[in-house]
Amino acid sequence: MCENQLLQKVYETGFALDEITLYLDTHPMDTQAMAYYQYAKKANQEAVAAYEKVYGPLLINQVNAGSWTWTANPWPWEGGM
Amino acid sequence: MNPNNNQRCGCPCRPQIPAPPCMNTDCGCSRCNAMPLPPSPCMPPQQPACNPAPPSIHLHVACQDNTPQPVPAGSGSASLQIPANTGSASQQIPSNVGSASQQIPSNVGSASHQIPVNSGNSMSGQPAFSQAMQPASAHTHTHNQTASASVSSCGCGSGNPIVPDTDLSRMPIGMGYVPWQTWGQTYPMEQGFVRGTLFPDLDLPFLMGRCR
Repeated sequence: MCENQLLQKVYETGFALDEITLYLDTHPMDTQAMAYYQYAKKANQEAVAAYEKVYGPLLINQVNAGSWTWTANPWPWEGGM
Repeated sequence: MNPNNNQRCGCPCRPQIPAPPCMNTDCGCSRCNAMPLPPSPCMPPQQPACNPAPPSIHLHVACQDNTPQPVPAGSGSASLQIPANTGSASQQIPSNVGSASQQIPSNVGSASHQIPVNSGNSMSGQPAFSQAMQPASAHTHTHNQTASASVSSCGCGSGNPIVPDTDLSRMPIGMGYVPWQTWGQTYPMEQGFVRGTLFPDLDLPFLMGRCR
């Protein structure tokens, strides 16, 4: 999967997570919504992990390598994200 | 008494703006709590008891986009939901809304729409949630029974914490009321991202011009 597709999956799962968060804010006792939240959270974590495995960290708190890989990928003006 | 103090308890909690004589300016201190509430000439009229008679109300529904869309669940809802695919300028709320005895069933609709609590589904497989977009004749609703323990607006024990059981036409004027969303079908994540919402019930795009 190319970078755009991996990133698209991150966006889609992240949006689903945002949506279910808003729903749960007004329906905190809804068990079905809670189940969907767990599903969306897992999907988002997997999407982020899949992207970061190939293209490096997406967030500053995801730098796990021994060196500072945050600046290793192209900058936006260099064609990166 | 210091004009800056509350007239009842003497605490320096008096509102900064002049309050009408009937306005309760108590601060909740122990002195306020110990004092009986004075009779207020400005009290609103006594709220009527829960009235199981269904309301009749017309609402304007946003115009619907006529482009083909994945079919959400049918609009045969038992809850206070305005169907998303009406296309009409005014909408009659189903007659069973607002009934004191109206309990929104917890498992309405086909079993394929049930979302397991511990699904453990991964993205790679076909999660149970994607089945939610299969066309269905009934709209799945859930009303979490634990929510029924929360305070009902009129205390009649209907279980719905927000939608009052009184006749809508007898509800206070000048206030906005929003139909309560209940859990139903969801779009697949890819489609929800494109539509701007995960919920078909909330997929109400604004169109230029007015309803015809």
